[in-house]
Formats: sequence, C-alpha cells, structure tokens
Amino acid sequence: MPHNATSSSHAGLQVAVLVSIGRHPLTARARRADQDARAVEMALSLDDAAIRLVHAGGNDDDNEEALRGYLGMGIDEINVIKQASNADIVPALVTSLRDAAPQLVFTGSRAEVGEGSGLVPYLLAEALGWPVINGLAQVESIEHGVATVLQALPRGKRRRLRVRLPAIATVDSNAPPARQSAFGPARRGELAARACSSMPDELQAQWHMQTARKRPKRLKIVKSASARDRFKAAAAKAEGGSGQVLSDVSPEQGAEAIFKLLKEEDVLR
Amino acid sequence: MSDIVRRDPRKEWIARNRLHPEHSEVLAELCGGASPSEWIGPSGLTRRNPHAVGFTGPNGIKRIDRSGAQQAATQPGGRQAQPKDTRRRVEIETPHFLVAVVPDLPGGRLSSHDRDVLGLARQLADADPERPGAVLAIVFGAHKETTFDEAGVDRLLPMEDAESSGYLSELRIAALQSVERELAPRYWLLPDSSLGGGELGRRLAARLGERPATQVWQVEADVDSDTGWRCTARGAAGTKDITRDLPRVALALAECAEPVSETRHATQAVRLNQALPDVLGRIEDLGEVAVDPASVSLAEAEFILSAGNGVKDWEGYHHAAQVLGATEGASRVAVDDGYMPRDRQVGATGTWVSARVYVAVGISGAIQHLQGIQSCDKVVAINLNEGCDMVKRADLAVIGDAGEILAALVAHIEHYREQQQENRDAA
Amino acid sequence: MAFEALFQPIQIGNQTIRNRVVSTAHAEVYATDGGMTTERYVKYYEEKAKGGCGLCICGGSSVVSIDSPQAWWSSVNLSTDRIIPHFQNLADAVHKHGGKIMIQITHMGRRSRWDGFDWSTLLSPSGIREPVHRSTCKTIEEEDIWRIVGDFAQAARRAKEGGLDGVELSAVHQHLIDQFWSPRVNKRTDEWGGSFENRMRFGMEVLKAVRAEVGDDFVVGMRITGDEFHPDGLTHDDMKQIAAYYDATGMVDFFGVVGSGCDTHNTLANVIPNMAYPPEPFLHLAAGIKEVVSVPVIHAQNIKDPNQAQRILEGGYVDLVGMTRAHIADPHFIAKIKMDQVDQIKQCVGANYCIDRQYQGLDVLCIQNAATSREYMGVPHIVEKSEGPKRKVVVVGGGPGGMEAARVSAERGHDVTLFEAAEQLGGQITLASKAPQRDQIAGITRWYQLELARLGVDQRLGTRADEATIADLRPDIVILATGGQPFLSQVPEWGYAESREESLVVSTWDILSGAVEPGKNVLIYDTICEFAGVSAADYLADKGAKVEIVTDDIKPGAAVGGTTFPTYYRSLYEKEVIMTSDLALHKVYREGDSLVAVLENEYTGAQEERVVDQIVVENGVRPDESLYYALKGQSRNKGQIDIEALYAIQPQPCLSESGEGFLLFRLGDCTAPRNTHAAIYDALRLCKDF
Repeated sequence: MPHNATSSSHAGLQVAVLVSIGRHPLTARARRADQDARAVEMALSLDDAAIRLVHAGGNDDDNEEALRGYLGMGIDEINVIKQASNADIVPALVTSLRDAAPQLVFTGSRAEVGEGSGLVPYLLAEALGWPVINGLAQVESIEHGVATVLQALPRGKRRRLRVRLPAIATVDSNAPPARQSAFGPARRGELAARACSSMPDELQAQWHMQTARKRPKRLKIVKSASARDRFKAAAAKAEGGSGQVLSDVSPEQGAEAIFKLLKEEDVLR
Repeated sequence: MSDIVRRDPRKEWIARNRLHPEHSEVLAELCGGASPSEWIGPSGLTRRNPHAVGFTGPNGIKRIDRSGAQQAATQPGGRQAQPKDTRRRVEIETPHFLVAVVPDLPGGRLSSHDRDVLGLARQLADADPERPGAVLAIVFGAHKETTFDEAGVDRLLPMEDAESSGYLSELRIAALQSVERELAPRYWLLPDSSLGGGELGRRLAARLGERPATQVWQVEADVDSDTGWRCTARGAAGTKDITRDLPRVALALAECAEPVSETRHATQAVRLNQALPDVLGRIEDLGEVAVDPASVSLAEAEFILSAGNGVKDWEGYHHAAQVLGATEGASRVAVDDGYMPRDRQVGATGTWVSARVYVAVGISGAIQHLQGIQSCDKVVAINLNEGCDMVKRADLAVIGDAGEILAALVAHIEHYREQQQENRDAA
Repeated sequence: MAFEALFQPIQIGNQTIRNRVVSTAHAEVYATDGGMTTERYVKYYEEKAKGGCGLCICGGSSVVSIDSPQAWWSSVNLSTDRIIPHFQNLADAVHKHGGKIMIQITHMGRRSRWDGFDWSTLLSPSGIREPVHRSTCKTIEEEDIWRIVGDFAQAARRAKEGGLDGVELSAVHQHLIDQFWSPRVNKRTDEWGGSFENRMRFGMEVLKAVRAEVGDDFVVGMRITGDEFHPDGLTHDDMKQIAAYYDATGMVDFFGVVGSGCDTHNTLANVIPNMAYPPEPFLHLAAGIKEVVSVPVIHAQNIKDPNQAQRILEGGYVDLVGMTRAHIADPHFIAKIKMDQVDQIKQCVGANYCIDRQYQGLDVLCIQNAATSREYMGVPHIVEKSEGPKRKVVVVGGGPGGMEAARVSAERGHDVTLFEAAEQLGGQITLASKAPQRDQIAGITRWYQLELARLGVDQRLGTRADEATIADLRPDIVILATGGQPFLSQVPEWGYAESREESLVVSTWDILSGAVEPGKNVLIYDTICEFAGVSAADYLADKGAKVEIVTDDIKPGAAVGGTTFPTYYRSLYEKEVIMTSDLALHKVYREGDSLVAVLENEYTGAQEERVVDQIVVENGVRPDESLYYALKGQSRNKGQIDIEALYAIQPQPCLSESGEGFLLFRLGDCTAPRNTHAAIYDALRLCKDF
C-alpha cells in the first residue's frame, strides 16, 4: 500500500514502536509478532521519523531470533528492557516511555503469547495520560502536534480522526502488511539490552492455561420440548414473515420506500 | 349493517336434524353466505363444498360433527390461533446488586453478540433466586431497539451523547465512571468486539484500575472462586484457553452464553443524579471516509446490492451499486449466466453474508440463497413476482420492474445528495 | 487449490482417509445372487474411488442374520462366508484408486417385510408394529439376542477377512440396536429395557462382541440418530447421552449422525431431505453429538456443494461430510474440484429419484445421470471423442432428452445444433420448477446450460424447427425430442377446447407456466397422481386459491415417491388443500359465471358436483408426433431405433451403413410419455456411439 502521509512539518518526529515476541499459529515457533511488525511498517511509512523499537521481556535464544525479525525490516537497533519471564511489563514500559518522551507510540493490538489481553496500550495511556486510538490503518498527516489518521472500522470501513500528540496508536491486521525481514540487516542490527527491575504478575500465576478448545459457531438453538417443534425448526426454510409488500406502486414510490429504509438503517454515505 | 347475529331456532333445529324433510333446503338457506358443505343443486345431484366442512369447536380446534349438530352459523374451521406468548414476565423490585452491560448496538439495534452478553449477565444476576441481581444496560445515543425486555434487561440507563454520533470513547468512559460512582455495579460486562465494547471495555478497566478478563467465552459457577464464578477466556491470539476467577470487568466473545428466550424483563428506565462532567477530548472525529465497496469482502460487507435473474439492465445495476455505495452480490443464476463473477455468489453454495441491509434485485430466493442471507438484519426485495420466497422473506418488498425501480432509486439518491450539498453550501 | 478443508487427510482408527468427503451408507439394491457384491456393485464404488471420494461406506442396511430379510432390497448379505471373496474384489477395486471402503452392518429387527422369500419372523424388543413397512413382529427372546450378537461379530469378521477397512454398526433408522434404545418401541421390563443401561445393553453387547472378534486394528463405527423427532422417542439430549456412553468405551472409531427418526412416512422424508429442505438442515444435531464424543463425526443430509462442504468443515461442526447423493449424481465430484472444474460438477438437485426407487425395492438410479450404477454395462460417465467421421447432428427440443443428446453428441466431437421453441432450455423441467419447493429441479437444466455452452453447441432458442430449417442444415443425424402436450381431449365431456375462452378446463401446464391466471376456488382433477397435479395444487394454494384435488386413484400424489410426497402433504395440508380420492371427473358444464364439475364415485357410481371457478385437469402428456411423421419417410432408417443394440449399449447398426439422407431418432415424451431419467438414459445410450 502506498503511503501518502504529508511529510511537511514533522521532521524529527520521535516514534516509538513496542514490539513483542510472536508465535507462528501452526508451527508454534517464535517469530516477530504479526501486528507488531505492521506497527513497525507503519512507523517506517512516515518520512523523517526517528524510530525507536522497544521490547520488554525475557531474552532467551528463541526470542533473539524473533527480535531479529524486526531488525531485518531495516532497523538498526532494538532497546531490550530485560524482564523476568513472569513479569508485568507495564511499569517498565511506562518508565521507558516517560524517559524517552516520543510523540507517537505504535504497537500491535495484542500479543501472540501469554494472556494477550490487548490491555497494554490502554494501561500505558492511562498511566501516561496520553490519548490512545486503536485500529490505526494509515497516518495521513502530522502537523503542529496533531496527527490526522484513518482508523479501520468493522466491515472494511474507515474513519478519519484527528488526535493530539503525544499519543498511542495500535494496529491490527487491517493495517498494511509488514515487509519481508531481510537476512543481512537482521544479523547486523543490534539488540541493546538493559536490565530493569521486574514486577512479577502474581495474578497470572494462579491461572490455568491450556490449548484452546475448538468452538464451532452456534447453529440453531432449538430448545423446544415438543418433538414436532424441533423437527419443524430444523426442516422449515427461513422466512422473515411479516414484511411490507408494495405492489401496484410506481417505480418512484417504490424507490422512495427503499430510500427511506436505507436512510433509517444509515447505510447511505 | 348490524353485527348482531340473527337466529331462527326452528331452522337451526331443522338444520341439526338430518332426517327432517326440509333439512337440505334449510341448511342451504341458513348457510347462504357462510358456505354450506352439502346441498342439492338444480341438477338434482348433491353438491359439496369440502372447504366448508366442519367448524371451530369450543377448544379452538376444527371439528366435524356428522350428526348434523354442526352450528351452521359458525365459521368453518379456520387456521388455528397463533400460539400465545408464553414467556414469563420477570420484575426485580429490589435487586441485591447490578450487572452492568454496555451493548454495542450496531445500527441502533442489539446485535446477537449483545444478546449473548446480556444472556451472560442474566446468568450472573439470576444465580441466587434469594438474592437476585438486576441487569443494567447502559445505552449511548439514539437507538432503534424495542426488545430490551426480551433480551433480559431489567434496568435501562439511556445516556445522551453530547454529540449525536462518531467516535466518543473519551466521553463515554467519563459517563461510565459516573455510573460506577453512583450505581457501583458488581460486574461490568461488555462485548469484546473489535471496536465498541472491546475498546470501551479496555479503556474502562484501565480507568477503574480493574484487571479485566478479555475474550471470555464461558462462565461457570465455582465455589472455590472468590467471586463464586470461574471464567474461560481465549489468550495468546486465540490459541490458549485461560481459566481463572471471574473478575469485576469481563469482555466476552460472541456465544459466551445463550441469549434470553424464556423470560421478559421490566426494562425500567433509570437516570443518574449527577450531570456528566465535561471532558476535554483529545481525539476529534472527522467522520467516515468513503471506501471502494468492491474492496470489502462479501462476507463482511454491511450493505449489499445483489443481482439475480430479474436484472436485465446490467449497466444500470452496476451504476446503482456505485451510487448506493453498496457491495455487489449475485444469485447463482446471475453467475451461471456469466453476468457476475463466481466470487460474488451469495448463498449456501457461495458466500454466507452478514450485511445489515441486503437488497435482492430480481432474486426469487432459492432455498440455498435464503440460507446464505439468514443473518442479514434487513432484507429488501425488488421483484416482479409477488409470490416468490424472497418477497416472503423480505422486510420490504417492492413489486415491479427492477431496472425502473433501481433507476428511480438512483435518481432519488442523487437528488437527495444535491440537496444536501446545497444546504451545506448555503450554510 | 481452493476448498482446502475438504482435502485435509484424517485418521479414523487405523485408517488414514485422504480427504473429508464420504459416500455414506445407502441401500444400493445392487447386491444380486443372494446378497453378493457382484460386478455392478463393485464398479459403482470403483467409480467413486476413481473420482477421488475419500471414504465409501457401502451397503446400507447390510444384514448380519438370515432373519433380517435381505432380498426385498437386494442388500448385502453378511450372514455367510460366501461374501468374503466378493468383498476382496470390492476392496481391491476401491483401494486401487486410493480410496477406503467400509460397510454398514445391521439387523433390522422389525423394520422389514416378512411376506416373502424365507417368510421370516421379524423381531423387536417389544413386538410393536412398524408403520412404514406395515410390519408386525414377535417380541425378541434372550436366545435370539445372543444369536444376533454373535452374528454381528461374524459379519464383522467377514468384512475384515474380505479386506474392507471397517464396519459401521447401524443404530439408526430404527434398526434393532436403536429399537432397543428407543422408549418408543422398547417397553421391556427385563434387563434389556427400562433403565438407560438396560436399553443400552444390546448395543453394548454387539459392540463388545464385534471388537473382540476383529481386534483393535479394524475400524468399527456407529451410525446414530441426532434426534428421533417423535414425542415418545429419543431426543437430542438422549442421543448426546447415548453417544457419550458408547464413546467412553473407547471401542468406537467414529460416529455417523443422521437427523430424525424414520418409522413414519413423515419422519422418513427427513432422513434423505429432498429439494424442499434447506441445506444441511440437521447439522446442528451432528454438531451437538460432536461436542460429547472424542472420535471423528460424519454427517450427511443435504450437503451437495463444495462451498457448502468447505464451510461446514471449516466451521468445525463435524469432521467429515457425507455427500452421498452428490456422488450418485457425479462420482467424479472430488476430481472436478481438484481440476478446478467446479462448474462441471453435475450437482444433486434433491429430486430423490434414487431413494424413492430404493424404497420400492428398485435399483438406485440418478434422475439426471444415466451412467451411475451402469458402469458395468459400459455406459460412460465421461464420453470420449469419436474417432469416426464428424457428423452434423440436429437436435429438436431442449428438454432433458434433447439436452442430453446435444451434450453427448458434442462430447463425441460432432457439430451440434439444438432447437428449442421456448426462450429457455429445460422443457418440462422448467414447468416443474415453478411449483413451490420445487425450484431446485431447475438445477438439472443449469448443468446442461453450462455444459452446452462449454461444448459450443449451437443453441437456437425461441426457434421452432420445421422440415425446411432442418433440411437447410444438411444433417447427418436428426434427433427429435419434441415432447408432447397435455392430454385434455381424451374425455370430450370435460369440455376441452383449443381456444382458452371456450375451454372449460385448463391443464397443470397452463397453471404452472403462468399462462392462465390462478382461480379463486379451484378443482384439480388428477388421474395421473405424479408430480404435476400436486405441484399445481401447491402452486394455486400458494397464490391464495381454495383448492380441492380429486383423483380416481387411491390418493392424490399416490405415484410420488416415499421421501417426496410428505413434503407435498406438509405444504398442501398447511394451505388447507382438500384431497379427495375415488372420484372420476365425469363431466364439466357452465352455470352462470361458475363451472360445475360432475364427479362419479368409482365404486358406487354415485355422482356429486362441485361449483368452482376453475377446473384444472392433469391427464398426462400426448406425444407430439407431427414433425416425426413429416421426417420419417425421408430418413434413411425410417426413424427406427434398433432396440437390441440400444438395450445392449451397442452402436446403432445404421451408423456404420452408408447411404443417402439422414438418420432419424426420437427420444423422450415425443415417443411415449415416461420420465426424465428415461429420456436422459435413451439419449445417452443412443448418442454415445455417434
């Protein structure tokens, strides 16, 4: 997707991207997280932005491979805030963002491992007192400390928002896909690790986690104790029943009625 | 004419007595307008009207009495009365606690997701019949919903948005904070939808300092839990199930519970005492942006203009779709005949759609097509054949030539837009 | 490739099935020679395996004991070791193409007939009569039970020794196992009835005995109902409990789930849902069973389309989809998906010609595919291109016979022109599709439309061919499939006249085509009792008319098959259509603005009248022979078909004889009124050697 953010006046824009360790849905191997990679892509689409990648978490070998996936997008360095594997990373990120004071923070809308609640951006925003928007699809312009962006809505729709910076924005799979990770830059990039005290997530320790059970979508709810009702509910074709039928009307009258319904349902732009 | 029934007991007696010599004549006379089932015609042969056999008996069921006691004046047995609404009415006068639900109300109506979450709220509220809770629905802005009672709402708190529409998360969080302060619900339940409840719920939890359970799909009673409830939630991008105590704030997935179907609730309106605080918004909504409807997947599209056999003017149809800003769909026949690509086919043999508004142009409604549109909210049929199944399914059907009606609709919309533009220019 | 979900292999017991598509057990009525799976049977399943079907479960209701009669429905007989070598042929034929084959085994208990062959005494738990087969039975004794348990084990052994990949125990369709389950028929108070465990006992003993006999390395599945839909029968919750109970033994490798019981005509129709039903009407029942069991679940019933199958599998409702009628209509279903020829799949339309024949003890045939089950005779599914001379073939009439003749001739590589007087193809299929709930039958025409376009047949729609137009094309072969017209002139007293104003009666065609406006108070006289009469009744009632349908036969719709008349009756009774039998239409006369029908009781001669505003007569079709007799004299073969060659699936001798002029053949209703299958079969066997 071509980006068309006007680049006039945000030279030197400070953008932080929070990245996490992802997990391939089929092979279960550690990888760059898809939405976070899209967040990096979004940052790279901004002209003249100074991009800083931040990762807070444990740092074993698997994770290094995954983090290098972001470096392979043409990033020189990732700031790694070392945390214990059971840590709540929000306090560490709050400190880091408060110190670095970026104008924009991008991140995926939820992690691919662990709780994956998608709460982190909201908790950061609450702690920092910054606005947060989700479903960022495109940054259109940044001028005078205000960003004009497009937000992805359900059913493929888009909404234009103007948000005062500094702000946090999350991207989901409606954002443009991330570029391939190239091997060379991935090797050359640097993981700048820094230790930071960890706050253990005690609540999570009490939870029970297991592989997700398959949940087919609900089909019919046929509760009736009457065998005939259950049979009819299954075998009868779907009918609405009591609609309005306009016969013997002019095309204009028919069109008028349809127009009225479309207006009521608010589907006309 | 008077509605009072005129009776002639002597003739009725003859009518009941099959052996009376005047039986047939009297029966025919008595029944006059009400169709006798049997009489002697001018040819001398017995004439029968089998449609008029029988009458509605005291149980409301058709009855045939060959003894001749059939009440000639009564109407012949018609269709049985519609079944009565047997749902139990529930009124919770003094709830011991509140379960607050913030439904999404897409398009101004409860979604099936909303109804599932309300079903879950009922599960929590009704667990202890000695100490019942009430389900409080908090509704922002204008809506078209009329069935909150059927969906399980005991209390309804309407919140007028400062602005009529748009992206108002910051305002809404402030409003929900006021609810928290004044009404202190025991639980907050929101649909974990991609915008709406999913976002609002996360904001709310962060604001209230509650750690929510997200993507909850099951809640079960559990005596070992501090709250008495255990929930199962999806984690790790849907690949894990997390079982944990149910917290105060829960964001639940569709089908987290069965929607309410057997009871009706009071839906009593409540208000907050304090006015809502002013909030300085840092996010401004500049409105929706037009997107190419063709770029929207058929399964996801909100508004579909679907074409079938009855469409003759294809150029006119495509033009109409463009003017309406609708995604194009098609019946199987239209695809078979080469007018539309296969990936536009709607129905069980093509794509299942979920449009809020589905306009079927010249589609008679084969059973597999109807199956594929069963989750559409509003169906509009444009068809020449008033008797076709699509017309029976539709909320609004216009009988007539598809090409002419579409052209009139396009003209109407264009005129409307011009007027709007003029108004804007004038302002 | 699209449709990935269909092509995921799956493990069932010790077998890996190559895809998720199953031809589920159905009675084929092909097992001849005392229930042996002879050549016709083998070739029928080989064709499905060749076409890519993952798993075939053959032999619906194959019997394990001699007191479960097999001969009425020519079902497979597993009560003797004589079957083993036949199974070996069957298994080899399917395995050769990478498919798997299992067989359903059962004892049908009371669900059969006793009045023939061995004059068996039928059995059931409490001796209660079975309504659909009108069969009475004895109350089963302990000795019978143990004998039959042993027979199940021996039958399973024979299947295993014959090289089949598994057996499916039928505990559905009210066979003996589910007769024990269902409180509707099991009223016993001993250890075989009453409590849940007691009702489960017979099935459990069968399962244990079978498993003990075949060991762990052989698939044993169970087919069960998802809900009997009888007030005194098994509910969905009961069935979940039953499925979980047997699943917990670890002895069952898969469950097949069927919606509905079937010991009444009305519920029987659910089991093989015809075109009146929505797609996959009972999937929710199978999905409910899947929730409570740990092994794969198979579900069939109105799954006919690859998109539909993909959606069901993707949704995770069941593990495998049964597409049985879909394979009867087109055994190459899977191959066509793989070759990206989805539009070339001949899709089942739910006419239920197959199953309605089966319930009469006739061999299963497809209404639209005459090659199915005739593979052994050399009737081809894929028509090869001719190596002989390219011929000019003119087909007159675009009904089923004409469309098939044009298709087959074009597949042979000939230059084909097809004339149809109407604006669209289909002939009587188009009329049939106008009735409520019958629109799907137009799917037959749909396939021909797509195929004839693909094959480049020159279609002259809206064009009535005559001698001159045909001669202009200098044809080598002329095929007439011009059909006929409603036969209203047979009884002059009916008052039929060519002019609509003068005629006192109209035809069902006039009604269904919309040529005549529906009346308000209509009498339909239907002496044929096939589809047209009840379709017209349903159509008129749907338009708001008061309708009485009268026949001189035993009941209106009497000749409509067992899985189809119930959906008509549901609709007709709902709309308060009156059905009257045993009265013949004697005379029609006008009285003022009304019409009077004089009806005569077949058995007493007593007459009575009806005063109505419209009288519709269904008296079948009179062949349209005019064009045939105009051309007959000019043709080289004088219009004659060599029936010996035709019946033997051999080329017509006249094709290889030289001479001047064209060959003339006629097909379908313009010869004698028969049905869709007859027209298509004649067209295929005649034209395949052009």
